[in-house]
Amino acid sequence: MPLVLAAPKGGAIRLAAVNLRAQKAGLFPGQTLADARVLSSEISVCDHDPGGDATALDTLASWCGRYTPWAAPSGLESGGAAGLWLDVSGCAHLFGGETPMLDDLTGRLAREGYTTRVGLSDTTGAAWAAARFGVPAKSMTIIMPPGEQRQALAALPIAALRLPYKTLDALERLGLHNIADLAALPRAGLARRFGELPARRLDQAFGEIDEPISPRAPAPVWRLRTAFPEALGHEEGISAAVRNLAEALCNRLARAERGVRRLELCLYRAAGRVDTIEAGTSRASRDPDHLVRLLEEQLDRLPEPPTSAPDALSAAAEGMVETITLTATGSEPLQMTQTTLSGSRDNDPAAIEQLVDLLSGRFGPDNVLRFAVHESHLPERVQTSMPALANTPEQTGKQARKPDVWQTPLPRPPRLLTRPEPVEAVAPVPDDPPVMFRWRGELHRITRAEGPERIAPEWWRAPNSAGTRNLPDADTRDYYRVEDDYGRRFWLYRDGLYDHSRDPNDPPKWYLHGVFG
Amino acid sequence: MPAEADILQRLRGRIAAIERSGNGVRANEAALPFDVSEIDSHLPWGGLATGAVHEILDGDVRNPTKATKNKTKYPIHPKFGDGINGAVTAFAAGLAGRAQSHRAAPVIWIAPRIPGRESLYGPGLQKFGLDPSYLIAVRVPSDSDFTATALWAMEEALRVPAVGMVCAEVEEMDLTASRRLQLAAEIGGGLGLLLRPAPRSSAENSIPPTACISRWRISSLPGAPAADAPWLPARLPGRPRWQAELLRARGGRPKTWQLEWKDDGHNISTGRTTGGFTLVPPLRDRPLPQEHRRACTA
Repeated sequence: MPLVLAAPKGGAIRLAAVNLRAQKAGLFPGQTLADARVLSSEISVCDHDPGGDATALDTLASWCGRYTPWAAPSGLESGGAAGLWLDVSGCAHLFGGETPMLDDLTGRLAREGYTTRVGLSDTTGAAWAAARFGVPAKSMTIIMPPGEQRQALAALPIAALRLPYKTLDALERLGLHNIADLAALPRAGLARRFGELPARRLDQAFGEIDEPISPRAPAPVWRLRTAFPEALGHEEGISAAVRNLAEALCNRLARAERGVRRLELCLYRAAGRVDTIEAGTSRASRDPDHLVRLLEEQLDRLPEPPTSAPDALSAAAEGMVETITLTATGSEPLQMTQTTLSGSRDNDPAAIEQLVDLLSGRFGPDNVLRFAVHESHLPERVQTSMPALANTPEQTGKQARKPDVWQTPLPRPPRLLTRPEPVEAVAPVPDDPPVMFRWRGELHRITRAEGPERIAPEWWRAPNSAGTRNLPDADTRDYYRVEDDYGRRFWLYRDGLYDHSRDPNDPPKWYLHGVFG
Repeated sequence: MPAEADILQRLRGRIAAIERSGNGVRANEAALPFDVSEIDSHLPWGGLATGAVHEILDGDVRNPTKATKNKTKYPIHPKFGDGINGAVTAFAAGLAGRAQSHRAAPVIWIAPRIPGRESLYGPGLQKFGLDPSYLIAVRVPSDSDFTATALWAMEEALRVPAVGMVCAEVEEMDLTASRRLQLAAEIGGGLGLLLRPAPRSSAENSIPPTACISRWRISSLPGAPAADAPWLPARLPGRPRWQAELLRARGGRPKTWQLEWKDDGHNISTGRTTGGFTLVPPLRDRPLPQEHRRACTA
């Protein structure tokens, strides 16, 4: 059945992509849907979803990470001719040669329901042309022998040169149909008439100028890969493989005197799914036990994927792991360290950092915090928290510790509410502590009180004009330390002063800001 | 007969060895003293045993019938309540500060992550001797797995010998989980504190037993003007004062003390705040201490 994708463009609904049957019926991208329906009455039309296409292509590109780290989606903008680039230089021997590698690639994609055309060549341009315009012998795979792009491409149409439709149209009208025709023309004239693009594409296809592929992610240096001869399902096998990889990675890092800061583990599953686990360390590490612990902690908690498999057995088969890669996405120089003779790990800062790594991996770096002092008068701004993982070794070192920065002679509670909570308070005006207050529905009768401690707003942050009265910290606060009849102690404040400029119907409100011990 | 005492001593030693038979257990029995002789001599370990987990219950009086109002307005978690208890926090911070004065080691504090709830506040903790720079706060998602996750984190932290103390705010606790924690603490040698919110009923018996080696209940007490500073007005809140009930101790007897935190101020040369627990002097008629006595003779 002819299938077309259509999207509104330029005031009409136009075709964005057509399948082979539709092409044979004379349909082409850019045609209006109305014209297409005249040419072929039985077409089925679907909405064009460029975002979905891009996502799907990106997923495929990451899936291709099993063959090479240099994989990138290509040319989605050229409409219907999008594909994937793989730079497989030096990778083919891992799979037993170029033909077996491409067979593996097409075979796996076929099982996923993709029809593929693959071109392999010395240059990206020639590979692109071969995949799209080459005439395959029996499979849909064309491998150009090294150095033969010029001959192989000669007979292909000029459309194989990745040129815009407009340029192609103009060239066609000049009677230039084949790449050989175009290559025979003098370059100067060609460039004057059509810009430098046709000449550049020719050179790129023939390998005269270089055309690098930008991979999806920068190709990492510290990357190890294990492919299993048969897909693995049981956890012990996977963890053993992860441990082997981690040990090998640590050995390589040790030779380079580097340590891991960020780690990425990818599990390539039989169903084409890729599970990625990331772990960070607070200091460079090349301790395989520690790295394996960080990864396994998350490995155990991988969510169960949605599966389309009809029964549990095939669902398990889909989840089998075929290939594992372990990448140190971040690394830092790490000198050799000498351990003490007794092997004692008491007071070992690395042990604390390993614990921080583990907890950060489980709860997220934002939930494992250290505290630091910020110079401010406002109680809630004095303490700042930061992920413990982000700490540099200097900050954890003893010499950098200044305990006195926390020191204050004023009463401060061990627990502070992140947002002060309004309380209903009964207090004599203008400057006395409350006699009683109700907080969270509970009435507290105050027996003892200390205060006020007056804390002015930070006017350099929020100018205290009429418009800023609604800001939470725009008013002067009078803090009182109070004790109720049960002996519980609280930190209350009155937001604002009783003064003449104030609306008498809007008296200052009371807030509870902390709880004392 | 001295032989009987010897036999008893030997048997106690054997039982202790059986009880602590994990790998990597320290031979020496260590304890964190309160430096209050009445308490230290009462406890079988001469202080709070390290390499062990202790339970601290929140004993403060609440008024739950009135608190049902406005429930949605405040970040009261259905499971964790309002979670705030200054007395337990301060008591634990005081213990952590004492532990740090013996060995400068990090303190891990595990609490549920509830948006908008109060957080530990360094300047206030510092007043109880806990150096906030050594504090690592772990916020555990307060979902259905909270207890298991928090206890996992506590167990991992207790295993690390470099960690001085681990506090965890959990409500539910059973025998198996506390046994695991106890074993982890024996491996690491640190001090574990389980800070448990106020029990729904006041009966102590309703709390299921755990393998923690001691159980305390801490409640706030109304302050009094400092006995050694009689010149301060009586309307001021005095020093932090708590009732510390030792409800259960392995190899010891329950007892109740009234404790105060005595702040000795900040020492510039060491850069540390010193202070410590003291017993509240019992209320009775007695002569003023010598240093406050002033003779007036004509």
